[in-house]
Amino acid sequence: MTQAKASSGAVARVEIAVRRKGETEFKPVEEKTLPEWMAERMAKLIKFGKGESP
Amino acid sequence: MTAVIFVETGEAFVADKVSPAGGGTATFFIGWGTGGSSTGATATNGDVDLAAAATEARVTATTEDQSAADTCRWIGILTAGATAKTIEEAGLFFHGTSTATGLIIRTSHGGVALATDDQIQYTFTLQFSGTAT
Repeated sequence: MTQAKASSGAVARVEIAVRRKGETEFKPVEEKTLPEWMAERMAKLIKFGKGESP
Repeated sequence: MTAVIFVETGEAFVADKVSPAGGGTATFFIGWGTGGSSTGATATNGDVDLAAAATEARVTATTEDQSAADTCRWIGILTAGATAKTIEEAGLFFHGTSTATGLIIRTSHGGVALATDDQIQYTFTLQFSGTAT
């Protein structure tokens, strides 16, 4: 079987920019990616257990 | 051992189904909230909704052309209402108003203190990422 490419799954990214009242442009403040969430989530699950909110 | 793979053409097909650039017809919405200051998907309701949705209604997302065949991108601008607040989370939804359903992607982020009429622009990007094998 020829396998050109195997997916490692979906990657989600969120970019956050803020514009204050009176300003003309949005200024980037943060960027989050799915792997980052997963790493943080795993750390929390290990520490607090599934279903518990730290 | 049998392998299960999600190949490039499959990634592009799925991306097309959710993006107008590829013929998709779905409408997407972006909302924000004041909960979930720690991590994504761990706070209460994190797997199905925002932890604490703010009073502002979700906005209809603008869907950009696909920057790549396997990538979809949505943009939404939310404006703070009459009450000052600190926004700490946002979500991409396929429902405009329903609660505890319709969530596709949720993020928490560092608190952003907003006064009336301040705005946040969220850009959600979803890529069905492949890895050469």
